[in-house]
Amino acid sequence: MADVSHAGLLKPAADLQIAVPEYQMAEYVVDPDLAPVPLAPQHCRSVLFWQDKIVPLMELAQLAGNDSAGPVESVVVMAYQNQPGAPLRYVGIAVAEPPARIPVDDEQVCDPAEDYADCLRAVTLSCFSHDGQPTTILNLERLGSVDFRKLAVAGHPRLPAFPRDTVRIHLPAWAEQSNTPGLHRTAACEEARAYFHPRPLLRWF
Amino acid sequence: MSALMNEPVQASDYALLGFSGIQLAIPQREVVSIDLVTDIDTDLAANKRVGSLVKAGRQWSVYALSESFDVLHQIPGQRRFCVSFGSGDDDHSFALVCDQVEAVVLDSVGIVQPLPESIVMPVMPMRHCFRNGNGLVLVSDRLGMQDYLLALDKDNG
Repeated sequence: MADVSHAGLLKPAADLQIAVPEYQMAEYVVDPDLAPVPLAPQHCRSVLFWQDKIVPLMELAQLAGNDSAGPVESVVVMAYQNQPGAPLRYVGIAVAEPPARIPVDDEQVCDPAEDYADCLRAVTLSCFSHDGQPTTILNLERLGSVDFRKLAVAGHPRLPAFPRDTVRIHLPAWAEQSNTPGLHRTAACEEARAYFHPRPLLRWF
Repeated sequence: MSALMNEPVQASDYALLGFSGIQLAIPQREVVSIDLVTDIDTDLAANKRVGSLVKAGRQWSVYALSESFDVLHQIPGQRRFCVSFGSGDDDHSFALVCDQVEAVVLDSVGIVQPLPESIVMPVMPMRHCFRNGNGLVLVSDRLGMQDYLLALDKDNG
């Protein structure tokens, strides 16, 4: 019998669901106290006042191409560390529904949807099927990084530099097109291809 | 490159400029004068500037910023004050119009912290922030704002 663990299921939009480790969820906040930040990236254009902290708010629906997302009505505050022993960092994820607790086991591993946004693939640790829908596991450390901010702002897919033993990804479409001007299939792309086999899910939860 | 970009914020006394819901803090020591918008010569509007402030042979290019930090080509009606920075002897001196100006002492309002790195963009003139009452205060300095406004001017060609 496969091992079962539990994950937090977040829905940044009606058609987008992601999973996070339960232990990283700090609080679900309804009617959050937000402040816009001028000149900030579209997907991270506000901060959340939470407890005594000023926390960046991520609108993942924007990264999924959903520009028509309405005002943020609820947020899940996540806590994470960039490395063991490092200070806790916080990020808010805008959600359309309250988070849920769901069981996950390694039998559920699957690939992300074919049309899953490249930017979101860049913050994906792994993927599993839940209620028949591919559900990606969010890499919070990557999401809060300068590298990811640059990637998201650039607005074009780029091969993310993941640690090879922790992440499985798909090549972005451009990497499959060797005739794309200025972009060629590189050794790094070929290495990335080697990641395309299921990884255990339970390591994340 | 502004000192703000490299060093922790060390000032404790700030001028808090309010406009279009934005609160922008700039060290008080960098404020040269506060005038009324009626003192602005709008006939000298050019490029991204809404006019110039001319005093005693010195001149400051005046800008009006929106809540998204875009330049406005006219001074909104609720802007009452013009806050000047720089000596007025060079092309880099500038002034910002705002709805209100007040003095804040950081010890009394909270802790200045860096803006989250997932938010900071190279173009931003602010790198720090703090909470003041119910709002977010963005912290910049004269050089940071000067670089930003010059970049906007150049962007116009």
